[in-house]
Amino acid sequence: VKFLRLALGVMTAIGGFVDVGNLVTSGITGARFGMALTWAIVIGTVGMTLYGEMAGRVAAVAKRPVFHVIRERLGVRASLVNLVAFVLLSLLTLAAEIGGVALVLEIVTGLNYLVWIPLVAALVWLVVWRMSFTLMENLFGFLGLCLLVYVVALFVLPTDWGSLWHGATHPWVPASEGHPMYLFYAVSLFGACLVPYQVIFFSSGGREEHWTAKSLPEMRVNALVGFPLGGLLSIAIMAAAAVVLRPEQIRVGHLSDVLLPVAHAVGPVGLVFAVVGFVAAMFAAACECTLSIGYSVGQFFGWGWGKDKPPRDKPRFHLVCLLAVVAAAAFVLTSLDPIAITLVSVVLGVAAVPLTYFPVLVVANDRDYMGERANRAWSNGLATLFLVLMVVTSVATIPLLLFTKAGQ
Amino acid sequence: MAAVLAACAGPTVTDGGYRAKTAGALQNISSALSTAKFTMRLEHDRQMAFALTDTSISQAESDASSAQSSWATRQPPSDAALKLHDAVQQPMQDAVSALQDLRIAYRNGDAQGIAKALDEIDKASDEVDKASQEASS
Repeated sequence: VKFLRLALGVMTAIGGFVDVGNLVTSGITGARFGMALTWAIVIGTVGMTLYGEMAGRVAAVAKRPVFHVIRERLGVRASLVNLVAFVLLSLLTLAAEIGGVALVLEIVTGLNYLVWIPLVAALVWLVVWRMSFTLMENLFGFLGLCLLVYVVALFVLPTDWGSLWHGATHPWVPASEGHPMYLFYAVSLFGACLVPYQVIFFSSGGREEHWTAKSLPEMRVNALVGFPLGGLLSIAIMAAAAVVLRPEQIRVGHLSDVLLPVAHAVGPVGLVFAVVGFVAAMFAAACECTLSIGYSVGQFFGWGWGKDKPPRDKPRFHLVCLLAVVAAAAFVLTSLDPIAITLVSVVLGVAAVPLTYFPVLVVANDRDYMGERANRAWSNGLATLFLVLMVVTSVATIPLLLFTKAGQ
Repeated sequence: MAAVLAACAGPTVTDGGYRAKTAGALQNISSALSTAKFTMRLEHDRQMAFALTDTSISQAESDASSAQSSWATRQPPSDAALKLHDAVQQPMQDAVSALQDLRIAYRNGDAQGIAKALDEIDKASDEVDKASQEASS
């Protein structure tokens, strides 16, 4: 039973790692740059794993989710700025996820995606409101594993593994792209792996599931195995695009383009898996994002939050979740391209990442909170190195966004 | 704010800038043509499902049309740029028309129309490639 729980946790982490940001950025970069940006996914995944583990450990040992920590360490005023930035960014991400699910429904039915947005938004709210936390996490995480069809596709295709490996280990900037474009997409891949809502969700989810110090091994397996495997899945999507779309000189601009490698390799059955995987990954991310907004606001203001009790016991938390879904759906209904929203949200996310991650590092290193479970010297060193990298990247993000016109 | 600024089309005041914008538009149109051809190849091989073919070719048409109209709003800054404008205008228009014909034929289930549109797309691809070379030289 324990092994099954661990396996389920890992599968959920794999499925939960991939969202619309990973799908879009991996597809775009694979088609445009081949495997030359694999390093950005690797670095982003290592960062997410490192900080995810830390946030989970803080939640289990100090019994505090991330936003409690942020308010306590940064003070009310500074953390209010943090809260506003996080909520706005997460609304953008939520809009992208809802738009992404609607786009897949357009591919399935042929009906314009705008028609589907109210329905998708209503379903997200219904799941957040009614479905138990564990069922929500496990069901969509498990269905998200259908994305493994990209790995299958790579084995079915006449993949030149040596060439892929060479591309991944010898990064180069294609002459037609230039360094700013290359760096913009590196930042977008990095941002897609380090989305702030995932850390908030992971740590608050830990409190939802009443993690204690005894839960640490299970949490660590989820973070240390599940997230890297999720990163590998992103690399597989990039590789499939590199093998199929790049030689055809197809640039990815839509979710439908990301499905073409699977259609080419596996055919209609593969497409069914890919579509289920897309919907599950993005729908789960939409629910997680909604909950993260509710968690962060609830934790900041000291309201009751979480799904462990009926909604009537936590009305303000559920009201915030509902308002978030309505606002995000209204934003996508303006007919702004969900793919453009995705790219902007993952890149702007990088600019906001240090605000969320820095307090986690501080508390994970604080023996008053963590006792003997505080960071070791090596993990402190690595996490600090990552924080410096995140700060440098966040400073470069806005100029790159403007200079490349969001990667156009 | 950053997102809005990033979405704005900046002015094109130099020949080099105009040439780069033209090359970029041609590259987007070329990609749209490739997407449509590849999609129809998969459709022919019965590799597609759902409404993916319809969605994919409609989006290719929309991408090409958007790239063309966005390029067309730019004022050529010199005589040399105007010459380039005149040289690439027709290939761009042909590409958009070919993609439009493909979409119409596919939705009507018109096999002959699809074959004809794919021929037009092949010709348009060659023209766009030549125009790209001219814009890049």
